Amino acid sequence: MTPEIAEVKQFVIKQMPFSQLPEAASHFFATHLEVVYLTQQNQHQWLRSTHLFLYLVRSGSYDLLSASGEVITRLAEGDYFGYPSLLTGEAIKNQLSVTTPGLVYVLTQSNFDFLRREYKLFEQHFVKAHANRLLSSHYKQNRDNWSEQKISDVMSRGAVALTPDATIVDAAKTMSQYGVSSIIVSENEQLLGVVTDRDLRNRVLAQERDPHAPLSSIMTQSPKYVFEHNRVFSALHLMLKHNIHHLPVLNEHHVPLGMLTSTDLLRQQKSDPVQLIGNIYKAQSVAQLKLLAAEIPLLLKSFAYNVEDTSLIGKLLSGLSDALTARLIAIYQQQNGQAPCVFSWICFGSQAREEQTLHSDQDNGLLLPNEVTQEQRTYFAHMSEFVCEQLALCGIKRCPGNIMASNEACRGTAEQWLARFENWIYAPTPKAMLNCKIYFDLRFIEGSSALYGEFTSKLAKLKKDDLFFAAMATDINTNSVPLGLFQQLKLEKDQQHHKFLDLKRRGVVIINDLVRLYALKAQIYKANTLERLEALLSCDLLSKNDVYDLKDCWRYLTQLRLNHQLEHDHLPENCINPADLTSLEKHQLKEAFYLIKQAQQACAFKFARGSL
Amino acid sequence: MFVKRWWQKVYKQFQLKQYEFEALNYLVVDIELTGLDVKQSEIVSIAWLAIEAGRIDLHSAQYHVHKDVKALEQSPIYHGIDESMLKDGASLEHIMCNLSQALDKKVLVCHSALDWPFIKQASAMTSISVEPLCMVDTMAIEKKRLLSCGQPIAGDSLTLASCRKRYQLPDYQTHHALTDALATAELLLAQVNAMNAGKRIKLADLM
Amino acid sequence: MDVQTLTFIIVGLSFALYIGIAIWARAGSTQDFYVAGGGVPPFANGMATAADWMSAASFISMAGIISFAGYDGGVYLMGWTGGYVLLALCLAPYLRKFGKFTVPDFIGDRYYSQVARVVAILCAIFICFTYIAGQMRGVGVVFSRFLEVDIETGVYIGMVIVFFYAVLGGMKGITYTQVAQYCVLVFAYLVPAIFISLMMTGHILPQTGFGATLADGSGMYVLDKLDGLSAELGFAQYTEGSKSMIDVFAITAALMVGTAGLPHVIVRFFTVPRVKDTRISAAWTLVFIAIVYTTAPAVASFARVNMIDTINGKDGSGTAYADAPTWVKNWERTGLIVFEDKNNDGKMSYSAGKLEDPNSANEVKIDRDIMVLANPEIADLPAWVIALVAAGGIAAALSTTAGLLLVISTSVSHDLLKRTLKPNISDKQELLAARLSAMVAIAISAYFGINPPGFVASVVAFAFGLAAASFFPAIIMGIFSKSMNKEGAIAGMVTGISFTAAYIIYFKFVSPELNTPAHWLFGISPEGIGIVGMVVNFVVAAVVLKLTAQPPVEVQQMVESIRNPKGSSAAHAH
Repeated sequence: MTPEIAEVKQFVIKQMPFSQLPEAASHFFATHLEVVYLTQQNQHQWLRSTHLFLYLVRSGSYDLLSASGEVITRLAEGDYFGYPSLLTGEAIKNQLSVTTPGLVYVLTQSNFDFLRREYKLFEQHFVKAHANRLLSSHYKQNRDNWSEQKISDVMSRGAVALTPDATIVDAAKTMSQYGVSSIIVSENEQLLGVVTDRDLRNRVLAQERDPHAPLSSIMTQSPKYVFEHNRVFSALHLMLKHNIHHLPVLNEHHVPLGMLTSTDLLRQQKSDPVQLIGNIYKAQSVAQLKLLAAEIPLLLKSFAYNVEDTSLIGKLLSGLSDALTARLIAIYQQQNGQAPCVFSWICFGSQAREEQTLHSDQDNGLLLPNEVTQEQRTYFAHMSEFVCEQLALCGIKRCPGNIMASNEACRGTAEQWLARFENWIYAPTPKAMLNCKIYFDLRFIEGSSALYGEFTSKLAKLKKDDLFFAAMATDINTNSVPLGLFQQLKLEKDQQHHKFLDLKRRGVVIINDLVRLYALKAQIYKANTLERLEALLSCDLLSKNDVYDLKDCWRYLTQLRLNHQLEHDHLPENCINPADLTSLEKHQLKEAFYLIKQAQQACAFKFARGSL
Repeated sequence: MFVKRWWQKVYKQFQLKQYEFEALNYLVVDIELTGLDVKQSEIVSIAWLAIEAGRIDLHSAQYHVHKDVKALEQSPIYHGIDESMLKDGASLEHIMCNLSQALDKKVLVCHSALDWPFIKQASAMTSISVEPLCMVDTMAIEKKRLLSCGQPIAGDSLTLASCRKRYQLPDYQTHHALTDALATAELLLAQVNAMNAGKRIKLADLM
Repeated sequence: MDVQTLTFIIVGLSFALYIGIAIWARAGSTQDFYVAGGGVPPFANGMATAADWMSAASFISMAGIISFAGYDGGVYLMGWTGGYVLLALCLAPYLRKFGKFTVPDFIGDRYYSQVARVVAILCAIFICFTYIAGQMRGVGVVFSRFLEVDIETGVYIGMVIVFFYAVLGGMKGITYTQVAQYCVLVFAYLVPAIFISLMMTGHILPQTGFGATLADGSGMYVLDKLDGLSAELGFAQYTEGSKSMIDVFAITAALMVGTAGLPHVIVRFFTVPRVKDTRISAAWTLVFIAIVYTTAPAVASFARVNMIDTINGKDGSGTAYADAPTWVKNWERTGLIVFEDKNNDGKMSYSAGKLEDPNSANEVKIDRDIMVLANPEIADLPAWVIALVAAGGIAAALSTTAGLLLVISTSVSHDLLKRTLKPNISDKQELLAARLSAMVAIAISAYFGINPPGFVASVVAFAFGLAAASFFPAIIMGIFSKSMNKEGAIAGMVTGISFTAAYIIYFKFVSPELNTPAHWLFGISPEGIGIVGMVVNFVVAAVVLKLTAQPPVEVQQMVESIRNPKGSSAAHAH
């Protein structure tokens, strides 16, 4: 048994909620926590979104900032943070600013969940704290606040209801059938009670009640409820006040319409893009899809200003493209019959990297099983033609390089695709390198994931020798950052003599290419640049500092590109006019380009021995 | 062969020193003794806990009282350990066996280099070898830091409590091996973070 | 315009050309994203390889050595040409199939051993140092003449230029810069050769002029005249060797197999994406090398005839020092020609000299490395031709040095630091380490350039000897013997290179006075000892192999698959 440390235990036992919990809870916490020393420099290391923790401040003081940089609260000895993400499972959005560095106790998600399960009070404490945080912080400041929406806009329709004489077993079966955590008990369209999965545990299993007893015996009678025209805010208030997670929603005639859960409310924090994707998946016709697709540019504009993590924009747009594609494939199959054999619709390039912009074009292909017949091929030819055509009509341009499933060459069996890849690897001509840059970023979209999985595992096994990597490194070095001999920015000119900087081709693309090279070398099979970088942290091809630098550069350039893309229309896409930049921005830009240049040189060094 | 082994050792140490602080795992050990003389004094109690990836893991903490202490001397007063507690203690073999396992592939951290001779002696007595990657002494780090700032070193300015005060770490009751081990571990993290100021600290900077 | 100004202009222009090409190559394509770049055609890659290949040794010193040593000098010609063929036919295709970019990588993987890799890296660095030292001397000779300073200052200037060109310029072996350098180099080599050939024999092609009769009406063949002159002056006959057969054979063989291990040239075989193109490119390289190499003997003999004629006068009685041609005066300033009027007759005389007869003593000491550079001056060619030769010499040295510095800096920064000593070093530190190692390399080589243990070509010959004794056996056994293990290879490399280095150091530095055939092992000179080192390497490897375990099965299978031609061609059938 792990001995407890008196000093830690004494501190913990004084803190809420432990002061109200049995001594065993404090003991568990005191023997399972980890201690970190939090400073301004190392905070990113601890507040990584991939691992969620509960933090308890032991010493020092910190400011908790919202994504937009406003102070939410000041944290000092005895304060917790990190719990909203633990409760919702979402990535950490808030930032810390360290005033005085100090010790912070850290508890892992699994230990947090253990305490949550064991001690109701513990859970209540944090749910309440989370709700208070929601109400007090920036949600109040937003004018068109989601909490001012009507409940009818938020709730999922369709009440899952049973009569009071139904048995407990019926309720459990219905709940799992519909995938809900609660059920409405009603008779003659009048609400009688509510049964939640917690009730099933606490009132049935724990008390060894007969599962064939009627629901009326275990339901919460005359529960709290809201009306569909109420604001979300009042529902939230009610939930917090009574510490409940489920609220039946009624219409004016007190007819139950559905259930509003705390999860529904938490989901509302995500903004409308998620809904749009959801709607796309629900669309029944091509016309509907086009209408939804037309909303994208507007949505992006309103959304882009509100996110601080720009990689989200690319993910969002790619998600929309994925949804459109998947839906179009489904619609085609509805109209022309099911596909005659399995297939995988895959995407390449920016869509695969989840770095799409409004200007990105389609890069997609079709993976077919090796035994596909000529007849089946014809079906897929028609399907691909349809999907690519409709995608173009939805605003995603046709690919100028014809990398589309509608092109015969991009519609191959696994063997054909492998042969193409193999050819590029073994004869790395400039043309082959160009293809590698596009096709090695690939992602599955629709169809058979087994087929795709089998293909990628074979692709991973293709031997990539040093010559291939050398050719890639050489190819990366044919592109250059727009920095002159004396680190001044070098501008390009278009026909109208606008001077501009191409942030994409001369910045982001180079980083993408570099990261792809390292990822292939390290056998990392992810398409997204930031995810690849994250994975590169755990192998020693690139030092940690270099990975962080590349990440920062990538983020900075993407952000800059996005901000300017939204504001200027007269420049070529992805370009900015440096005259619009502040001197600080210019300095940062130069710094970023310099880092890229260095990474480029180092890569030529490592892989091509400096020969170009 | 000898040269090869010597070279491997030197090279390993060199390589080790190039590691970033967080790339290695540490075991912070604190020993309470009956006195300071290696020949006569005995280990009364020993405690340790691990630092992994820059985090002090309290779940790894271990605390042992040595049951075969012959003369407790001042221990009941200093460490609060009396004869009754010794009865529930463990044998030196048991302790060393656990310590040897815990130290595997880790860097040993102590406040003051004085603890090491006792561990060595205990290791010799039980013939259980303890092989840390290398040793880090928080007292030496503090001394180096103070000297480099040109601060004078007074008699008690290097005690655990006064070191911690310099980093505004919480006050702890000292002279319990486990508390002292935690205190030392926290001190090490604070020192490392105070030293790095943006750049990553290597093990070499601590030795 | 005088020679010096012209030299400045032409050398300056050639630099502007290289830098311009480097900038153009780095500027990147502004074309559409979906259109691939052009890539390097095999023809151009062939030229670039030839430029890498032809060092200052080939350009400046080889003709000089042939000129002075006559038939004996031919070993360099044969050795280097043969070496290239060996490399192109026997090694490069297999290394390519193995998919390894450098010899140390090949050795490290083939012998599944980090130690083997490190030994190979150290050998590569050592060889490169020696090779660069030769280049630095070459550049030094050029600068000392045309800036009219002594050779030491010339080397320093060369050092600075190489530093700026290779280290600050980003150190990239850019193919098209090498192409330009080859063009400058070959132009500079051929123009004076053609001029002189025309003047002396009436043949445009120096290659045919070499075997033709003199145009001065005497009807004598060039070589006959040279033989006559040599005999008259007490030298060995030009067309007959003075070296023993075994030594000639050893030097030729050492140069040949040593060439095969030269790290910077092998890389060039891999910059062409397709296997087929590699072969075409190798063939072109051979053509481009042949253009220079077949001209060299002609240049050598023309220069010698001209030189003896101008110094000793048409009648052989000697030219008065006061009337000495300007080239003698010019080169005297560099310290590479020394005139000592032993018999006080005020006339210069050049001969082998006999000790017992002071009147026949040689009064003019001529450094062999100046022959090619002084050639146009001796023949009274226009000033711009002289300037052109200077540019050519610098081009030859720069192209090779850049390649070698890259090998040194990548070996130190990447192979040694990043992959062995400090795995978590950042890109920035790696690049810095590369630059620093290149700087150190230049400085050390400059030292040897100033205090050379021999002439440019002989210094380079040592590099080749070391490569022959270390890499070549390891590569050959790695490819052609599937049972060779790491212990054998490492032991072989270490003994091979130590033996050879020790032999060279002993005779060239420790006791240079003993450096005569009588003291040599089997009568083989230090230049040729590499071949003995190679044999030692093979023998040691074979013995150690017998005493140690077989290599792992997968390594044996891998070796099998390299030699099996099906393996790699299957991929290209698609």
